[in-house]
Amino acid sequence: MEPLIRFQNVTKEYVMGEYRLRAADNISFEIQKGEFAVILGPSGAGKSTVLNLLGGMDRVTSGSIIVDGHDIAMYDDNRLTAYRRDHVGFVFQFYNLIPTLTVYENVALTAELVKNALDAREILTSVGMGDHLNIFPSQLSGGEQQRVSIARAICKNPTLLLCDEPTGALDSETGVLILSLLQRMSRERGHTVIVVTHNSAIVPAADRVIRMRSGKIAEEIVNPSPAAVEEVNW
Amino acid sequence: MLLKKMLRDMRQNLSQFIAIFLMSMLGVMVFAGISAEWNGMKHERDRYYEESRIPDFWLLGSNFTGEDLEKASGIPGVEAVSRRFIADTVMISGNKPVLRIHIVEDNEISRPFLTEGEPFDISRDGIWLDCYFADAHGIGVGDRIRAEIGGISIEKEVAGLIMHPEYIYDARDESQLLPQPENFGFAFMPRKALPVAFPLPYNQLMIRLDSTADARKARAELERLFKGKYSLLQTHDTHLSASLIEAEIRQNRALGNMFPVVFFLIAALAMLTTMVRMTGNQRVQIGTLKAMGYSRRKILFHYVSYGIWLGLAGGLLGLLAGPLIVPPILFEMQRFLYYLPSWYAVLTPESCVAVAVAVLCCGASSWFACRRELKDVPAACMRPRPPRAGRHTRLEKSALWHRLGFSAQWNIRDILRSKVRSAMAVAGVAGSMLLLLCALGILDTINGLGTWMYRDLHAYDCKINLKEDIRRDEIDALNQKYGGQLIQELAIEFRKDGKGKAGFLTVAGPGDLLRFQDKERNHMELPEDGAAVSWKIAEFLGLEAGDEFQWRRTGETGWRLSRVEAIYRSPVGQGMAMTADAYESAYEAMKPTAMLISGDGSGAEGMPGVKDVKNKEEMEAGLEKMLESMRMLVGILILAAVILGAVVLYNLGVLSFTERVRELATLKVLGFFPAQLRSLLDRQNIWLTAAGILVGIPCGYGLVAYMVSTISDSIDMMPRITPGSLVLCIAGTLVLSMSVSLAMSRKVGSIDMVSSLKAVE
Repeated sequence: MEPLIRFQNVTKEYVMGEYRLRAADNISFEIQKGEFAVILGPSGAGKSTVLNLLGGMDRVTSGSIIVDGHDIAMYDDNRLTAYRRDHVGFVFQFYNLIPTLTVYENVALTAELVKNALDAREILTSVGMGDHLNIFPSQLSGGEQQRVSIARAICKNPTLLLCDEPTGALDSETGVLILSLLQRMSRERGHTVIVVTHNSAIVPAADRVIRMRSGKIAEEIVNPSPAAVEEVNW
Repeated sequence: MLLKKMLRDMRQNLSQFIAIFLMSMLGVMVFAGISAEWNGMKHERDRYYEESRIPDFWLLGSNFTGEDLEKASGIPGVEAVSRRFIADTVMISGNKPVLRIHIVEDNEISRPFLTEGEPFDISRDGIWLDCYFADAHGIGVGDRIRAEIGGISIEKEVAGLIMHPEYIYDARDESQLLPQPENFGFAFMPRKALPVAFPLPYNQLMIRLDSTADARKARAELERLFKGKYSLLQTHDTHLSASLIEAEIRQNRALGNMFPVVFFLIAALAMLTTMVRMTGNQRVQIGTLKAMGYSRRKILFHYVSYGIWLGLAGGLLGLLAGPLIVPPILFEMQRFLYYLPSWYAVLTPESCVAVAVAVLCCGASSWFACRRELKDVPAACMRPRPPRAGRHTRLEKSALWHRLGFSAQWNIRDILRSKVRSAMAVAGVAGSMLLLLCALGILDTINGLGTWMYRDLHAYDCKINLKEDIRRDEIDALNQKYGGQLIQELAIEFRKDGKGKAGFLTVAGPGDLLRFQDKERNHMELPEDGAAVSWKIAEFLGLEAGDEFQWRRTGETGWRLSRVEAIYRSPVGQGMAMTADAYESAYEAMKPTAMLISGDGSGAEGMPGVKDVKNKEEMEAGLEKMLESMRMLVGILILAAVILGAVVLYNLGVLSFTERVRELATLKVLGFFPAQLRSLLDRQNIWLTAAGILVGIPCGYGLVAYMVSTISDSIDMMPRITPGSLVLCIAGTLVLSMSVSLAMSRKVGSIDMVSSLKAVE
């Protein structure tokens, strides 16, 4: 079966004054549709770079990124914007909710963007935030904010759900709840979920694990029978 | 949803957005208000002119016959012609005011406007009197007044009170700064009200053109036909009332175009700083929106719409409020000077353009502000912007630097690092300084005009006006009693290279009660030989010392040639001056028209040959009235200055405070006392305020000079700002700036060290 995502010899360099930082160094990997994939590695290994490239938030220096048969590395700004709008849902480490909009409005904001948006109220209920529709993000705990953030990403019904350290700012118990929510979204709704993290405890629960070090892929594991997040020993 | 975000963002930065809103409102309000005012005046004047059928040309001669009337009506484009007798007479009562009597043959053109009594009727007996004059002298319809016309005393019943389009500016001549109905008025009488035998030459011919006529051709034709038969041809450009009201309308238009620029500039600057700060703070939000798939254009439009909505809301409110609020205030002042039948505001489509300008200013500056944040790729937006690097400046290499101390070093670096913000602070202070200086400068200039005229140039206390037929022995008698300086004043016309101008000739007899000053305002003596020309006339005709020009007495036909020996400055009564010796050796014997004396001259009243006695207090009263009418304008300017200064400085204060809150928190953690931090902030403010004041002084002086230059051709005013006013303006600006900075630096105490230093999300 043709994979949903295929990275082919992707290199990303940041030019910082005199010297060049190679954040991604000739990376190639594949992710199948509907997988719950984890990109693992210590800080500075280039995980976020890969995620940003995949999400159309940054441009490659060389190489190609095939998503659903299209090379997004060739896209111009406008097509990248359209790609982000129609195919990608982001979940950030610090949630990045708009502080001046309520929970419901934050989700509805993205729903306005796409044609086949899911119902914001329903999604919020399914992530367990159905009772908090009309309050502002600052009144929520971190875990709750992250749920809203996930609802916001999912409500677009995206091809890809990209999560950059979604549990990084949370305590471990809340983190487990968030990860299990993401896993559930993948299983029940068939979303392709890609989670970037430095916590290797999640490995047994993932369909696929891509381990990175210094901008290169160190190891790629495919897990035929992943455990549920809650069953993993944290 | 983005609309909701905008409204909530605005609520969070309420004070700044209100300031922007106010500025765009004030800008449009001032523009629309002043525009409604001058358009209203123009509209009413045009209507008044049209309704009363004002002439296009006035010809002054000695006797226009019925034949002349026919000749004039034959000129192509002439709609109507009429003639009348016009003369300045003295009303026999009280202070013997001058009454200009018009005795008309018909009521075809230049019709009076009735305010009370019976309509003007050429077949009815009676006199129709200037209603302001009547009011000043307590004369009502039905009263009888007495005046002397050509040596014959007549008495008539007042049939009606009138206004007249030729007397919108109701003054006797250019030397009068203000209409003074107690001293001067006009009256109309039908010819039939006087006996047929009454000796009465029609000395004025009035010509009205139809709307399609070529005025230039008609004028040339008129000049050709009546060559030698007239002494003065007046058009709307030279007619006292017509030219002054036209100048007033033009001046208001210029002001109305200039002041809003200041407000729009401030609105744009305030918008810029606010949006720079806001988009800077919302950098991550912008990145998030981008990540979600919002296009660059959509996000840009979102932020630009802040400006557009504010500009639109402020502009529309200003458009509504301006014509309602501004014209009544200005009309209150104009009423002193100009007599129009009614006063109303006229809203013009141009005012809507001002709203568009306000929207454009605010929109463009917010576009400019958020462009920077949108340039980065979304991934970069998600990270906080790296703090701007501190740079070493050349100054730091000098030996001086190390002696400056920490606070000076910190402030210098801070100012250099945020040049735009500092420049805006300077501009804001300079702006309010400018407006304050302008306000006080106008008062000073008019005050200065009084001092100049009544102290420096007119050293006399009393002016005894002499009758035209005074005899030599009567003059001698006066001279013996008062020992004053004799002068002769007469109306003349200048001509040079086809350009003409009306003015006055002053012949000064021996004495030093009438003084002259040269271009630099140093005392000068009139040349022993030849003529001195006043600066305004010299400017107008392009004359310099040594040039020759032509002139003649009003009423003469032949021109005389003179040479400019010197140029003098005089606030009013522009023309030329000669010593009695020079005049007598070049032309004829001097015929004194007035005697200037020091001390009280009221005893001269009633002496043979004396027409009337005017003392200086009376003349100065006019100036006092003018000052009175300026006070309102000055008050408005001061208010604008204070609002402007407060808004700009407060905005910048908030901006620089939030930008530096982390730095300040660090300093606080390091152990600086709040008082030390406050003085750190205050010091920078003082520097910037001082710089603003220094920039504002020349600008303020320039603005006063500009405003003075738009006032009139016939008044030579010196832009003047006294040291006292300067000190007052500086003190006012400092107090304003300091109180804003005090309000700001009190916040230092409330800086929370911990939360300010937490990681930026």
